[in-house]
Amino acid sequence: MRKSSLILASIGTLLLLTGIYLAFFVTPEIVVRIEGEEVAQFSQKIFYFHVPVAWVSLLFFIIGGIFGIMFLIKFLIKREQSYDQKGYAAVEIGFLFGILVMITGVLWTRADWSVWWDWDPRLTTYLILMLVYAGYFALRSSVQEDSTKARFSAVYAIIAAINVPLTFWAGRLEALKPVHPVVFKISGASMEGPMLAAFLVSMLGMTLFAFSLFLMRLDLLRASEELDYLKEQVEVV
Amino acid sequence: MEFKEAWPFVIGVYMGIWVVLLIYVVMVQNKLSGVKRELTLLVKALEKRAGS
Repeated sequence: MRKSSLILASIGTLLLLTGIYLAFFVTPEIVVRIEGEEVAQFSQKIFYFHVPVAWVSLLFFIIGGIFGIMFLIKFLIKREQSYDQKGYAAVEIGFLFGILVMITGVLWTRADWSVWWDWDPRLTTYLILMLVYAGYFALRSSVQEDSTKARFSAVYAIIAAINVPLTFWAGRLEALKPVHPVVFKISGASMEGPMLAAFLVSMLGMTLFAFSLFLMRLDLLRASEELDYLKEQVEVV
Repeated sequence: MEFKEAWPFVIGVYMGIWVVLLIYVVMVQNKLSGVKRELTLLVKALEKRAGS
């Protein structure tokens, strides 16, 4: 494991553990009134990890799109393919965190709304987003030639990234009658003090940890490419 | 949902995330060490061939 990746993973883990401590032992429990009775919402604790995981997934999908654009620019100018691996690693990390979003989201939906799934705009658009990115991997595995695969993947990653803002805004458009809660609005965050601290610590921790995973995956892709190249050379000789 | 009903979901979320991320890290590191081992062997074989 390279040093930068190890440092990022260590800081990320420490921050995530701090986030867990703050979430469970420092933040107050949300209390809601149900049929005249005050009920503490312990299930709200899911929020402190579910949202950072969702943020990371969307961030890496966007990064994958940016790498796609950079790939196309470099490819058109210099015929270089250096950004293909970066784009692929970014999309894979985004997808990994996306799976976690789906799992934690389903558990939270069951805990809070007593159903496993709801066709809420945010949930539905996120599901579509995941299906679109599943197509990215199908595309990569179906194309054999490396250069073609890289070009197709870059274009696909750019188009797929357009879904990210759609998913983000779907939960905020009143016309779609969203059920999914929105914490951060233009008017500000609907939480403060220890809750905001726990949330921000978890966000930073999850982001750093995800970047360490990205670097690890990139190392593996580069090493594999080097190995394939050497094997080809051996066959030629 | 109160603590007695919600705790399996909350613990499931927190544990689930750690377990999935840990499996991913182990998988990537395992593959990486395998590839590096193969690379070293290949380079050694190439050097031997070049020397002989």
